[in-house]
Amino acid sequence: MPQKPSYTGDEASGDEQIQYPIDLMCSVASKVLAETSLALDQYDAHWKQVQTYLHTLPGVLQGPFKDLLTQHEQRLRASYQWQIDFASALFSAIDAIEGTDEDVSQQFAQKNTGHGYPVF
Amino acid sequence: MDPLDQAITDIIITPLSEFQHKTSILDTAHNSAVQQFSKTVGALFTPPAQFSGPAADAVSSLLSDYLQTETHLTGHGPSPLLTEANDNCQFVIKRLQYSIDTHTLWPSMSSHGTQAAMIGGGILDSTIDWAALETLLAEIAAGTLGLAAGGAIVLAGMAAMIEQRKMEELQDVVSVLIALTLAIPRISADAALPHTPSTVDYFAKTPKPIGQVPSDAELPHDPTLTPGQKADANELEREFGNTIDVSLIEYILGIIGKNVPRKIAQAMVRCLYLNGFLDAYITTDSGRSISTWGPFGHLQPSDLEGAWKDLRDVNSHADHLQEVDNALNGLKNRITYLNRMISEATMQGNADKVRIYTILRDAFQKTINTVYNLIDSPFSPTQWDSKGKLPTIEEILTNSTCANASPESYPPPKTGN
Repeated sequence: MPQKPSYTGDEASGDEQIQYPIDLMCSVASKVLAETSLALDQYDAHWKQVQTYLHTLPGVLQGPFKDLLTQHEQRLRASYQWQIDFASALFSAIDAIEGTDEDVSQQFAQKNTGHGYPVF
Repeated sequence: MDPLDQAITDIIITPLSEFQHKTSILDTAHNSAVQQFSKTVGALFTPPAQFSGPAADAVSSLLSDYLQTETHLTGHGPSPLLTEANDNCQFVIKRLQYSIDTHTLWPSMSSHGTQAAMIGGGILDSTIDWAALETLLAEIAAGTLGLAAGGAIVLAGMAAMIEQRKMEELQDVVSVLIALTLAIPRISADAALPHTPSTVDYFAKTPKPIGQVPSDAELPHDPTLTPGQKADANELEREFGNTIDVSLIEYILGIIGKNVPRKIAQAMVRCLYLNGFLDAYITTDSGRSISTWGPFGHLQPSDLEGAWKDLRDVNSHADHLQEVDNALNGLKNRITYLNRMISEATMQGNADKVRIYTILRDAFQKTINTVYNLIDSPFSPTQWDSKGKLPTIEEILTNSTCANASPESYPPPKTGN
């Protein structure tokens, strides 16, 4: 389980270290997407095996067991989707961070507009 | 082994005995994927180039929720859902094997004039159509469940040919199969995933820094009732013959009384009582009675707030974390007993009890999940949307239809003159 990042400064005073390692975030998100895709392929194969097994049960039991296992299968599949969503959210966060950085950069790069003082 | 026993073994016992082996590959694959994911995202928080700051905190907290939930699901062997289903299968297998053992002899055909008829009818020769038996069992089950009438006729036809002893065995099979078809849909759903990650979540609400969280409780402990609601609680307590603790009635009124008029709230409580949801005790394995609702006295909003603070070293003036932990363990025990009670009621064909115990069990499970989500939340207690209110009562009301109770359908008892 990931450890919460430790702060180097005093939290109460708001002097906490903030780091956005963009390259690392990007590489982690890409890796998650690749690994989840592979894991989903394997999972699909396993689900087919389970479906084959379902047909060996007495007919009267197949309905209830199929409903139960389908519900479970969908829950597990949602977990893979969660990982994909996480990776997508990480990409979105990267975009937001880079966008903010760009906006701030442009604000500071603006020349004197004639309204008051230049930024620097 | 006689042909009927062989058929029961081949058609029912063998496939059921393979349930865990054949289905747990889903859980194993899921657990591997979760472990790999944990390792991959762990890199985000590894020095020196680690992701840090409030956003990293929110991401880390969300990941912890996810990993904790998923590890609980499949990280310790088969999931609770598959385990419970397998327990049901094992129970049925034992029942069938017992039935086979106690009905060991196929009728001695030489001493029965029915042998020729049975062979002629395709019931007992070497080419017997066991698939038809399977279909027959399905038909019988459907007929018994009121879905079709054909099964009973076939059963009667077989009854004329098979010795009473074997008929009893066949009836055992049918009853056990029916019980299993009823038990399987009652199995608790898997724990829900944490909320889906999105950038909106990271930036919409910022957790209050720990240093700004006061140590004194800000959420209430006891339900806030109006004098009228207090009087209603006392009146209901008397109406129920003092068998239900007034504090439980006050707890319920405190939750539902905020949204509905007093008379409807009273009708809802009356409905819960009359349908057995407020029964005071659950019987343990040792025959001891434990209070069904006892743990809820230690899961009040202020208790959850204290546990949240204890986890983060904010002095909450008492060991609330231990108190909440004990209450959660109490709830887990009650779920275990309720599961057994559900199995017993299912086998007894008592659908009402199965329904009541299942609703209680599912509501308790949801309560546990909610408590964990709250005390693990990155947001401080006053930022909780629910303000520490648990979903238990509303879940039971909705699933029991008591949410629709009215003063007309559940009137107060008439008092004599």
